[in-house]
Amino acid sequence: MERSELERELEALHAESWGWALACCARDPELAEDALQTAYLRVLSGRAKFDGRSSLRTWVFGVIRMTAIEEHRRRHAWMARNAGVDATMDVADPSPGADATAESSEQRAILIAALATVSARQREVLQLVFYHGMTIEEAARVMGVSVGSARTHYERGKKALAHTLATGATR
Amino acid sequence: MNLPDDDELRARFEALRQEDRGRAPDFRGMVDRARAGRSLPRRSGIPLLRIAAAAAIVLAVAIGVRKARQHSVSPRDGSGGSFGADDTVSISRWKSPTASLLRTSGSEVLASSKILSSVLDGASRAAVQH
Repeated sequence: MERSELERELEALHAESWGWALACCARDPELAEDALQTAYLRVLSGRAKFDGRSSLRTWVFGVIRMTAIEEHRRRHAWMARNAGVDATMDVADPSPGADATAESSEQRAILIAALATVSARQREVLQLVFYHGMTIEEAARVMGVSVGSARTHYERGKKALAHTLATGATR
Repeated sequence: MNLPDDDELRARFEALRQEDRGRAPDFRGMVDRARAGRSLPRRSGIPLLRIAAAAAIVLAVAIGVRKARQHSVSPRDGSGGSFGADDTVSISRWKSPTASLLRTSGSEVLASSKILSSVLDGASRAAVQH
């Protein structure tokens, strides 16, 4: 795929990619923008190569996910090394943070808070299926896990999320 | 207690999606910044540093090996098999790197005298030349 064509495809996917980057970065817009920009650079510079074995969206989401994880680890290491900051305060913790509760929309805040009560894997698969409309198979590919594992995370996560939303038992 | 079904969950996520969509940063600006290399400066230095360090280590080892070979070169190397006067001199001057380990107290008593050794050196040199 030519670079200009790849850029057009990325632009078409941008809103989706932004939503996924937010989910991968604890819904922190600054971290999400940094991760997404780095992911775009990897894709456009050819450091990440699309082999056509999956859809472009699935592949791009996988690149964004890996980039966000690497950024998270890098920040974690930097904070531990330079600032002596407690690593548990890392802003890139996969669960939605304090910023999420300050969202203007109440419904949005409730959903984000409820998502914080499920595991990171469950949150990922729920986001991919319900937010991005992916199948379990596609979600498994993005997450780099087996379909069976993704399905298990999906079922358990959905049940836990529904229960939390019904009872309002967010943390 | 009524648990939300798939449709309700999907509707909640869709509302979140719509709000996120309105807050997405500009794609073009993001790509331009990425092209300008703003997102990767902190990572680019690490591989270069590692490569430079590895090259320095390889160079140091190569120099060390070369020097070691020069010190331990055989006296017959480069003589084409013949044994000339220069070879005799180089053999007499050659010292084992571990010779110091063989030094013992009173070794000077056992050493040959200078006059005797020079006579023998001359004799051996003449014998070699014949």
